[in-house]
Amino acid sequence: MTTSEIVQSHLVPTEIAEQIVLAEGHRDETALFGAYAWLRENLPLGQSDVDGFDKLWLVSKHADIMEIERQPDIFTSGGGDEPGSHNPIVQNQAGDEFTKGLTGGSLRILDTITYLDPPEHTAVKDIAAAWFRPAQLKQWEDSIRDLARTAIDKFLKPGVNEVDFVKDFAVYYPLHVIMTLFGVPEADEPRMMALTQEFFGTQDPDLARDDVEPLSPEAAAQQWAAAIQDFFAYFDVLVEDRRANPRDDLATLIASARQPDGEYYPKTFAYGWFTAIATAGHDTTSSTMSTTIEQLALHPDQLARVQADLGLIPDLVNEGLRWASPVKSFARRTVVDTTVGGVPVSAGDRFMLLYQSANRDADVFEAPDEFRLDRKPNKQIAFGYGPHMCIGQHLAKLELRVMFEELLPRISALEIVGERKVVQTNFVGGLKNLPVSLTLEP
Amino acid sequence: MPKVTYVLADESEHVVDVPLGQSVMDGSVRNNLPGIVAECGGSCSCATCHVYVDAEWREAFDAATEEELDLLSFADGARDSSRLACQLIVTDGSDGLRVVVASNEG
Repeated sequence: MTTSEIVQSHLVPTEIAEQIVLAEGHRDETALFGAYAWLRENLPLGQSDVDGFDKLWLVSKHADIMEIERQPDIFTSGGGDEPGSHNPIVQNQAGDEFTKGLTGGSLRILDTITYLDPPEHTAVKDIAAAWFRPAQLKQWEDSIRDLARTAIDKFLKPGVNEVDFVKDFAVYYPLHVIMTLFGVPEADEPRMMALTQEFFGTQDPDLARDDVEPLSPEAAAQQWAAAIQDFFAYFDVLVEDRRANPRDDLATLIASARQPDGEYYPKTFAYGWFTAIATAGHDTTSSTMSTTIEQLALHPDQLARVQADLGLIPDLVNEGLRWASPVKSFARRTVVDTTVGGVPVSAGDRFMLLYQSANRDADVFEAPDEFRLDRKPNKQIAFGYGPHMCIGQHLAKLELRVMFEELLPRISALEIVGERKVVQTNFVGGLKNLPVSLTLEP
Repeated sequence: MPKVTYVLADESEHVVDVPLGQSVMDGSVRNNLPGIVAECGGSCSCATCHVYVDAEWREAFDAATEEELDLLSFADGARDSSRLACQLIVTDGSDGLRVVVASNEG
């Protein structure tokens, strides 16, 4: 694939590009959102040329991301006719080379929908798509509510709680919900949590694995590979068990999926589904929960308003998603010369879709830098758009709604009492900690 | 396979065999019928698979969830008979279903 030369007028200034493309840039949210705002204002579709990375078009506008994501045949995730030739997750060139070394040349490190293009994407997504429909999920609402109440009782107490809302509370419930629906025993949840953190936290020196040299050029890719091998070994046992002893859980649905010829899908597809569910299925939800609580602490008037009218919670969830945007980016590659927002682009060009930026786009959101729980309609794009839109979005929204319905009415005081940090990553992240004083009614 | 009839904006009628377990949206998109755009790929998020379902067929499907009603409330041309085709899962009881595809893209 050839990539077009950068046209000087499209070149994003180095400082702006590094703020967005490099994981380190994401530690400083003020500077990061400043860089996004600069792009939307000055170069809504600009090309970055950061050392060690492929050239990338930085897509900062809501409409441009939608235009790209609604055309998965043209803007491919996995490379179209050459599956595995493109990485839908932005990593540096050394990381991509390391991945290829592991797989024998492919960037498709998992057989999961994130890496697939139609028609393969459609077929593999079909395995579980119906399970994630809102009408199907509704039957689990009572069970999820029980888990929310249990989490509140287990991790918080009536009266004053001086806690880190992220580490002492938010991370447990979404993990417990997805693992319960999935069919993983509660005793194994800490292992799933550790693996998720390795999976997504590879760029963050605070989360690096002990057995891999931190911050070496290939450390991130080595850590991915190590985490994935751990997952596969565990999931293989699960696949075999569910094929032999089917249950009413998501693991059974996936393990027993068959191809049109009647044969099981290769096990790598089950591993891929399981890995996606086990990693993408909770961290993002707990990040959104924590961010929403932070905003309610900063805006006591809005907390009081939603407490007085719990019917506003679905709108609060949407605004929390817009604000948190826990998935910061995905990448696409064109297979033909085309345009984005009227700008000509060439076959082989890569695009970094900046969801956090799109969710602050003034063309779509009035006063985008204000947290307003009553935005309606709220066209937040935190789950992406098009066929690759997050398959778990309705489960995430359900979990968040139910938790807020249970938690918010009991809060009599909420205050932030210390510094907070965010995970250093350009991919999936959010608050790493949030020290609060949280007073609960009995 | 259940047969589903899609009535398009030009009033043409197209009968499609839709496999059990697929959605009314899948039956249209996978046979390249125009009209149902289905931008989000069937995840109850975009309202570009808006159809009208005759009264006698409404009981044949799960009732619309809050998520679906919320999207329909902002869709152009929404009526009592409006549904999102991606949420209508075809069963044995769907044979003979007739849906009118909303003429706009929601």
